[in-house]
Amino acid sequence: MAKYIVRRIVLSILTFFCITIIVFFISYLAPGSSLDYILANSNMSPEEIELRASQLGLNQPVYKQYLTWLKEFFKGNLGISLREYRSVTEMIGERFGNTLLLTFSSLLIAYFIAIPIGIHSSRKPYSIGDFFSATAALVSMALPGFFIGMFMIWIFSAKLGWLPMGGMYSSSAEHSIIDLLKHMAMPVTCLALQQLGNVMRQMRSSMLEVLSEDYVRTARATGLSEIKTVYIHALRNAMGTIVTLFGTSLPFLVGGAVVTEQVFSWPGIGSLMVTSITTRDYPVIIGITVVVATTVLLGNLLVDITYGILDPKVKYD
Amino acid sequence: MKSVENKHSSYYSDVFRKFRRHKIAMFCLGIMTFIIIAVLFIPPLLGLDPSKATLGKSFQEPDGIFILGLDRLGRDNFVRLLYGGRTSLLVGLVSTFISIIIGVPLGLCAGYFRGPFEVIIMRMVDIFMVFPSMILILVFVSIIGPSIWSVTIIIGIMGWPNFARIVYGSVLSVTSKEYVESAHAIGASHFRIIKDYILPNAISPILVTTTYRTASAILEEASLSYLGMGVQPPTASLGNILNDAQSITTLTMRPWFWIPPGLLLMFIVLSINFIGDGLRDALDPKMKV
Repeated sequence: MAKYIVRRIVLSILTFFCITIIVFFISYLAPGSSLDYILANSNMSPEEIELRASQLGLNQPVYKQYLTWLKEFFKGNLGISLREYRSVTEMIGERFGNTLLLTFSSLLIAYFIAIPIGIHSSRKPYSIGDFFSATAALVSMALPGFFIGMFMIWIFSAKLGWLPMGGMYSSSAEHSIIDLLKHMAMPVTCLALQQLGNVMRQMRSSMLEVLSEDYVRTARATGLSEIKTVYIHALRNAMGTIVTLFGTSLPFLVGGAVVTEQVFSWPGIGSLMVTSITTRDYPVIIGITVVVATTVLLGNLLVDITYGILDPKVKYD
Repeated sequence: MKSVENKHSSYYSDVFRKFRRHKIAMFCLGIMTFIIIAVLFIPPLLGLDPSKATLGKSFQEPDGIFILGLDRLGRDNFVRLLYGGRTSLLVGLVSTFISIIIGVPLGLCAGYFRGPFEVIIMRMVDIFMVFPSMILILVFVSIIGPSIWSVTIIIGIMGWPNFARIVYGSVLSVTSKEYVESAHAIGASHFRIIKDYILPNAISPILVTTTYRTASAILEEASLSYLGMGVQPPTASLGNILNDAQSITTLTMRPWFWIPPGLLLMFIVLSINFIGDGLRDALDPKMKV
């Protein structure tokens, strides 16, 4: 077990370095790099430019710049935004919680709806109910997030006037829970709708697998009620799926969050990413990518370890 | 030799028969055929020009001549919808083709040669699968600059792990079979073993993955274009038409402008998914319909 965890940690660290190296070098090669930006926006003399560049470490070889950046990263410093002249760590810190709130609420809702449906359709595969849920799953996976978001704004904000169009609070002065929930309703639903299909399908297939195992047949043979067989014996063994689902949903959630935050002007790191790309604010782009990578990797590490604990059949090699 | 041929044809006629019984998949195949014919043939047959603008008629509502109205610049929405559909299908198919070209050989190498190939390639797959591709695509696009080709290539490159993983799995399931070992024993070359014994086994999963991957590539392109990071105007794409509808007035007052492209996008993706589903059931020899 210890060996398995160590292996997973080493793999995550390797992945982390791969991603930081790739992103750092790509943005180094990019046209309109940091130095060009400073040059275009100043009337400094060549000596001053030289000084400024050496202050920012921009005249050093790439690998040295990368090492400096890495050292600063571990100190929690992601550099300075070129557009806002503020600490990138601070900018991401302000918005990161909002993105987590959005994504985790939608994931929870998707779980609450999709897991029972998945279990139900696994009990009677190829029945009418199973057919409907399979169709619903495919529809959910085909939904374009931005279109659904726009559609909801049109219906619930413009036509019915029930919910605010976007943002997180109606006024910056007053932060009430009710107001927050009203603002969350549409973006969370929009993101959850896109998750349903995936969760439903995976839950169904893993329950199908478990239900065909010998111990389920034994449980049934002993005269145990169908409810007990399914929800106590089989479900416990399918729990691992719910844990891995969390890991596989993470990348989709982040991608979906970028679009959803843009549609509903939600102040998260997804919408920050979009504005930073339009203004070519590379320190922010690199910062967000690395923070997202770290979060996703930590999430997956946690999933792997939990899975190892839950499922004694996992081979630790 | 003849009997083998017969067996092949009976397997595929069986597949075809099973697919035809999948009513929704057949229906969606019909819809897709209709959409493809419409977007390919209506514009050249009617001599439609997506950039032809009627001046002074910004956002004119639908009427008898312009059935879907005009856009901000006075261009015919219906024509732009057809061209947008073209763009979506083109990006989806070409990028999936790129993913296949990269992913299939890598998956074959990893599964067939094992050893260091397997370790390196499959670790790369893990890394790619774990990371949110949308973020990486955005980073790449921000650097190369958004255009229809950069988006197609990047989405194509990001899709390779799906194919590598599926091919790897099906290669592993046959390499230890007797017929592959006997081919080794009579001295067949690696190339020949892969071509004649390994690859045919991987065709079904590749086909199914191709449909699903095309659907997600179309969605990814649309999302990118919606964010303004994908296909750039004046080229029409279903995503960038919706990007034009982000202003509050258009969003709330002119649903006739942005609902058709959104619906067309949904229909395309949904139909491809259903066709993939039907194909998966039909290609599975264990499924009795």
